[in-house]
Amino acid sequence: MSHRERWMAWIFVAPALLLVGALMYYPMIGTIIESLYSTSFINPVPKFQGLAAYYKILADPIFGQVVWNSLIWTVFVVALQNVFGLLVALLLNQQMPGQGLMRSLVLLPWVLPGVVAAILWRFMYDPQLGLVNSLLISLGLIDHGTAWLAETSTAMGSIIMAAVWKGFPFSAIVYLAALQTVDQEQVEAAKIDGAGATRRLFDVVLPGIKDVIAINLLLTTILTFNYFDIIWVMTNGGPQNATAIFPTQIYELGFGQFRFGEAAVYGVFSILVLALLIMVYFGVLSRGRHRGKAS
Amino acid sequence: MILASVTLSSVSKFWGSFVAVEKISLAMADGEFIVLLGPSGCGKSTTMRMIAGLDDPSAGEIRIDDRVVNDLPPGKRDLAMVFQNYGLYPHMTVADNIGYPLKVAGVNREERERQVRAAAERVELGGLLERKPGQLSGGQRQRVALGRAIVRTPKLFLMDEPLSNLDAKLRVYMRAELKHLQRDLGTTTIYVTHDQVEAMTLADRVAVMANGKLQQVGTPLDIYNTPANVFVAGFLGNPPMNLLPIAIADGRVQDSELTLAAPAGVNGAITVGQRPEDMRLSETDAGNMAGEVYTTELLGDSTLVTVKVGKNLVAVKTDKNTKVHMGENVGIRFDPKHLHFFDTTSGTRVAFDASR
Repeated sequence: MSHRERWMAWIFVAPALLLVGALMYYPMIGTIIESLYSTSFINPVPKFQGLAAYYKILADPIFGQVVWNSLIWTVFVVALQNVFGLLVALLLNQQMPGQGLMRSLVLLPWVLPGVVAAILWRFMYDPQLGLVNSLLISLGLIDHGTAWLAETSTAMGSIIMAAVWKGFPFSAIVYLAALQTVDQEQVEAAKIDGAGATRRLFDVVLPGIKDVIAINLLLTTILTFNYFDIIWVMTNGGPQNATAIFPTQIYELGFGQFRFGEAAVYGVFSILVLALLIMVYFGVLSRGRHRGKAS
Repeated sequence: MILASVTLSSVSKFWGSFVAVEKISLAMADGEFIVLLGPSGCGKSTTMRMIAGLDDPSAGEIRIDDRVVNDLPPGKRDLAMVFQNYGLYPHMTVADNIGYPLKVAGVNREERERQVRAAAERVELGGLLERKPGQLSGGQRQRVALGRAIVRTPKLFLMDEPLSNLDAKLRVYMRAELKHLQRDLGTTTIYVTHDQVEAMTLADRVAVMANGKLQQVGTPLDIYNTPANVFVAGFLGNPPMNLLPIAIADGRVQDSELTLAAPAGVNGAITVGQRPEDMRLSETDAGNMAGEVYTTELLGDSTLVTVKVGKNLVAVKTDKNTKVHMGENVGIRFDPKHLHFFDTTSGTRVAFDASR
């Protein structure tokens, strides 16, 4: 590239760089700086305190609980949402009457606004009026209503269910699209070779879409780790922090208790986790691209 | 040797109201190499897919040996198939690809490795067993597909246009290899192609199909020398047979451009046919017809002269040293021993007494 061309290149890239810088890096760096200052409602002039907020948070047992909750939440929501999504995709990929209608109906939970879905599920989990309790009682599995969202032992499981219900259509649609690119000749070759449906699934179909599976796992992991609306509306992160994960804890500390410095510390930790996930994401992406070139 | 005969009895396939295959009956003998030949959309691939079990026939019966296989899944029919794009498993090595049918059948690892090696030797892939299909050339992928087909010594081979993705030179080479391999193994083989040269060179018998119907079944020479109808006559041969519509009445050809002794007992709207290599150029007044040279093409071993006779173009294959020029007037002489007559309305061959 000549000197002149290099200048032109910078001019063309500049608007995008400015946007990304202003909208992403400025707040991110701002968060890191914020975490080094003590700011609160009664003390609105930021005061430098170094890593004091970090020490405070790391010593607080709630931090451990938030990390653990985030892990449980992310692992179960991602796993269930992907497995369920894949099963539904396999089902929708079959030739059957009413296929088009089924495909649109499956999308419904995903297109509902998160807050609406959360309120819907709060009703379902209601101890007196909820569908969940009346269903379980009529099946004879429990004999009196449980306050699913108010018990520390059931709250996390309950919101995981709601999030899986809300999120699985996304995975189903992604997997359905991938399944339709699987080479039918390979599937037929496996049929001729004597492989039954299960064998074909594991030997031909799943290997054929494994790059999509890897990328969808990572994408849903990032999205799930950042989840906020459903949890906030259903439990506020409670009871007793039983469902507090990073985003709800940041919101609670920052805008509930106006402890901006400590909220920023949580923010910095979640940036680190996400940065790691994104690095894995691009690693998988470029590996897939290399493989694509080889064949 | 384990061989299979295949019998189709009035087999049909409909897709809604579309008739893909209509009442095909065909018996294939043990060890025979039979080619299903026809233009695209003629139903030849569908016929093969029904034999394979990948599509279900809408009507009729398919037997392998004496067993009706209509309801048997493909894996239970003891057949192997080579696909047009080879259908290799891209994430498996060559060895795993070839060994897959054995793995599914539950053959133990040691035995599997031995058989895979033997099959790979046979298709000359010995050194490539650890490669993935993506690292192989088209010809090598083709060999992997063949290796996978022969590894479990099936009773029946099905091949769906297996050579159509290879370049011209490799195709000729693999064609010879395939023929040799099939003779060597003696396995009954059904081969689908739209390429008449493949059909002529490979087949013991050719089944010509068009519009979902069987047009003619016979040895390559039969089909070439005595085509059963206008379609077969016009489909085989390069260039195909010249076909000229004429009318015969009272034992005389009622056509001004053509002087020809009408065969006994042939009357009405007739299409007369003769292959380009059976025709000769002559002086304008010494032939059966005359016209203006439309174009000449040197093919190397011969020259193809196309002559415009009335509204029709007639191709004549002549000696490579023939010197005629475009626009020149020439005569064309038929070889009376190699004339074909077809009923113009039905298209079918008209029998006649050739001894006259």
